[in-house]
Amino acid sequence: MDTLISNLSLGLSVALGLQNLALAFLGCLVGTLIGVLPGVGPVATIAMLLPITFSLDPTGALIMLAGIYYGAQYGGSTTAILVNIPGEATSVVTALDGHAMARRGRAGAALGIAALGSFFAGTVATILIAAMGAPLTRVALLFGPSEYFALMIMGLVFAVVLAGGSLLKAVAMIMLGLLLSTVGTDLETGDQRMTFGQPFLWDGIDFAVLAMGVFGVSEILRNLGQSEDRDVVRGAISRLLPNRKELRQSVAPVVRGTLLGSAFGILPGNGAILAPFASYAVEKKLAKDPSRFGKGAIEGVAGPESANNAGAQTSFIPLLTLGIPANAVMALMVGAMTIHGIIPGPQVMTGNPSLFWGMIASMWIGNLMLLIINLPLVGLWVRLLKVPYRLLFPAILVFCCIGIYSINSQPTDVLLIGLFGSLGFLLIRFGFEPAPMLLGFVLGKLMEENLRRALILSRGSLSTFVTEPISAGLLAVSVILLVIALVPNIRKGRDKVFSE
Amino acid sequence: MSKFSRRIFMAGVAASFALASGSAQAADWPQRPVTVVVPQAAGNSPDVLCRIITDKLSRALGQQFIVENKAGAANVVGMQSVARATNDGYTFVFATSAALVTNPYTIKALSYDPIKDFVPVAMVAKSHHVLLVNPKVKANNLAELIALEKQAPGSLSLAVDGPRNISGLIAQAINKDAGTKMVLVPYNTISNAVQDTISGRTPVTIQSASVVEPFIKDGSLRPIAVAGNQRIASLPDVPAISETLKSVELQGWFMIMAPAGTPAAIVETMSKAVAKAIAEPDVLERAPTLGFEMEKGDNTTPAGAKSFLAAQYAYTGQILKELGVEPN
Amino acid sequence: MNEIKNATGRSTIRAPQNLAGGLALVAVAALALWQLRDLTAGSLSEMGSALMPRALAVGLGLMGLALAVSAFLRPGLIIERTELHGPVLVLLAIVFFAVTIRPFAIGPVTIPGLGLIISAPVAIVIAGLATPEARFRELVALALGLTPFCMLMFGDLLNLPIPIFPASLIGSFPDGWSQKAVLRITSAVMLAATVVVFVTDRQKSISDQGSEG
Repeated sequence: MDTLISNLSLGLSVALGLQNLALAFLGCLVGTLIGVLPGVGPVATIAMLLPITFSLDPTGALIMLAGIYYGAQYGGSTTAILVNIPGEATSVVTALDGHAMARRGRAGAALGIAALGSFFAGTVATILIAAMGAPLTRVALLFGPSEYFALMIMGLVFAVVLAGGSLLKAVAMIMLGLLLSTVGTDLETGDQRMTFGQPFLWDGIDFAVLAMGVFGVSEILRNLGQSEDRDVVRGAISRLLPNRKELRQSVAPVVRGTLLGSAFGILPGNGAILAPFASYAVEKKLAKDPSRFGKGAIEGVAGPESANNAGAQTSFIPLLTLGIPANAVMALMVGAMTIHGIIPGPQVMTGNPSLFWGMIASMWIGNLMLLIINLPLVGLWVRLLKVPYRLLFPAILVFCCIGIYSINSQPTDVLLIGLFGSLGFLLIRFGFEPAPMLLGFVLGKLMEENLRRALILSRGSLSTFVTEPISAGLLAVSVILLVIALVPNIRKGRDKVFSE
Repeated sequence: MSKFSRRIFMAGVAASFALASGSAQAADWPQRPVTVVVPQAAGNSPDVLCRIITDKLSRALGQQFIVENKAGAANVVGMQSVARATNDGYTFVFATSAALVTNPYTIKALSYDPIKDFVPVAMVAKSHHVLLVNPKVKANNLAELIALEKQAPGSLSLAVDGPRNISGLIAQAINKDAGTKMVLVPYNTISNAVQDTISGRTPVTIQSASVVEPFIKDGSLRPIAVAGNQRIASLPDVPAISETLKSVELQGWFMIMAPAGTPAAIVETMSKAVAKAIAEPDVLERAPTLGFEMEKGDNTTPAGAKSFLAAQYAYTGQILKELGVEPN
Repeated sequence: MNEIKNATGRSTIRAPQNLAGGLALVAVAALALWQLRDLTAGSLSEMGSALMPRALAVGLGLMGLALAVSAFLRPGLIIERTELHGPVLVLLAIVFFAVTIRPFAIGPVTIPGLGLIISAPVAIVIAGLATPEARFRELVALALGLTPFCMLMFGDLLNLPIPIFPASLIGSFPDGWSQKAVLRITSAVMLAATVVVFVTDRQKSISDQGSEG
């Protein structure tokens, strides 16, 4: 405990230096900016800013880059709530109830609870990293291909719980998402799968392209036909920030989300993306009235947002202690570290304590800054929604086009958001929900990869998934969750049969 | 339009531009910002190296050198765009060995020709790969590893970043030369491959030297051999593969190139500037942490780079043919 | 919110939405299987590239079939009619932006790159016309105002590699002018133009109201 306090105070003394404080603020500001611009992701921006950091000292450079990362994470939720465009896989869930809240005139409450929940989650996760970072390193090594595959199966079960409508349709959407994730060059054989001979499909479909299409563009297409409800957000906004009742409803989901997020974030290989989905599924199951979900339940924003942020923080554990980046942004951070002559890994903590603890302390500072930057902005964002829709939607559309183009400089990506926009529009017409499809898509690649790897390692024996204890445990939990999710559905189905 | 007539058309466009602006002479090149295309995603090590070099070039030549990432389709997107770019000396490409000497043998109907569509400017760097094992594996050198494998053929799993990437090709070449049957397990993220080797799921792996340095230092991975035919400075005690097996000289490297037909004088100026940039002390200091050995001497001239490319092109083709790799 | 309308009457198709949805899924599955026709599935120890996608496509097709069949058995929702005029214009705006932002080759034809300065405002106007409430002058003001904002934000501030000016113009900038300087000056001019359009628009509507009153 004493070492924890002395470590944290060393960290704070580094992070509270005037220059580092300014860099953290700058990073969070830039991050928030690129987060709210749909499509422009942290990867592209951090890569552009890398040369600027050459002239900074390593600690300052990393503090700034980390600020961009949190800022972008949080900014992505802002667009999800305001205009239903999830910028990151982790904000898909936020779009569900967050945007529904915005339509009911509670955008301010949704944004506010997202900021407060994230700050709480960030604080807890920072302490967790400081206290348990080193021992938690071992957890990552327990997860191999079969464990990851089992984890992904659990994720698919969350997707089933997530869906509001018909079970058959939800499962069909998950399958469609999984199928879309297999488009592109096969890692193992180099075969081109379902690419129609087009090189721009060789690398598969970009998440941002799919999400922007089926959420953002299809939302615009849908709104064009419904003149009566699209200006709903212009209705009276009673109170900008969450009221007492909403705050009370959010406390427990925030705590649960923080715990779930911290746990998933520790897993390398992007385990953190599951956290918000898990949190949403849990909140929906625990709610007295699950039917509120999808229509603007504040628990559906508070829980997943906290989980998202906690996961974003704890995913630094595998990076800092094991040198293993959990996702593309983390991989860039490794690049930044190596440029400055620091090789991430177990020695950083002992060999360069001021950098290590300075960065951990700056995580908390970064979260505080996000709160300071974003709470005043809530008013601005909400006012933005008062712009008449006839002017708002062309602006959103052009931002989407520019953003998506800037990711890879590929005009074909822009064409694809049009294509997926029409697809999403049709799917909604036919009564399907796009959210389970996106989750299927996100999990699909990881699932296939790990399934194949696990089977190569076991030389073709399927029993590997049940003989490995962790994988067996995860699969058992998945089955139990599935049963819990299905039972009310089956009963409801039966009731319907009886009532006919 | 056929490729040939397109090139004539492009040359015409370029010529009319040259007339219009009255520039494009090597003497006053560069007059405006120069684009260097990286056919890889922003932020990975070739991109970082390219940004370090262009930073130097911008200062040395007094015009901004802009890095443009055109990633995708195993380098094809970026290479193709430069192959078709105006050859006025304002577009270059930071080409990888995969794009230049592997793709022609692994991709059917490749949309660019690495020899005819480009003119080499300068070799920039080589990257080194290391064969490593989990410390519990009872083998201290390559010969012992081969013997261990032969006791139970097909029992060892070897983590690589894809069977057709450089590490996968090295692994296949080892299997073929030594007569072993190590099973290749493809990973598309380096981190997962390293993690599974540290935990012992895949006892053997082949990785870029820079990536695994910390794990060698703290003892969680043991280096067995360095790919290629000579030892490297950062791991002087680790033998080269060629000390045990028939030399496998497959390695990763990077070369700056221009579209074919770029004025020779501009290529020459650029080549000299690059050679100077990659010899600067701070570049030499940063290179090893990124896993690169900067090139010097003859290979950094256009003629030297050209003959290096031709030799590598022929050599890789021969190895891939021996391994039975077919384009698809 | 979607108004819930059940299929009425005793028609054999009791849930048209499900029928169409089911058939669409079958079509997607068929397309995927056709694309995968040349790839091998392999075995469990050496999974081929086609195993997983083919299994998923078959599963998707079966689900689509089940959904389509259920449309004859259980009552469900009808498909609402849609005005196609709006969506078509929005998609047209996206396509316009995609093919003009930088030189784009379709077969033998190459569309010249127009850059952000032209692609963005035209796309805004095309998309804006998608709604019946569109007012042309207002849209022009929006396009003129938003474009310099995007140019400064993406091109200058974030330094993203997006073409700002038409490809053919870049060579003809005056000597010694950097692209950034030209960018800033053009942005200022466009913003000024926005103010002019906005003010005249406002005056026009006031005078319209005046004449009505």
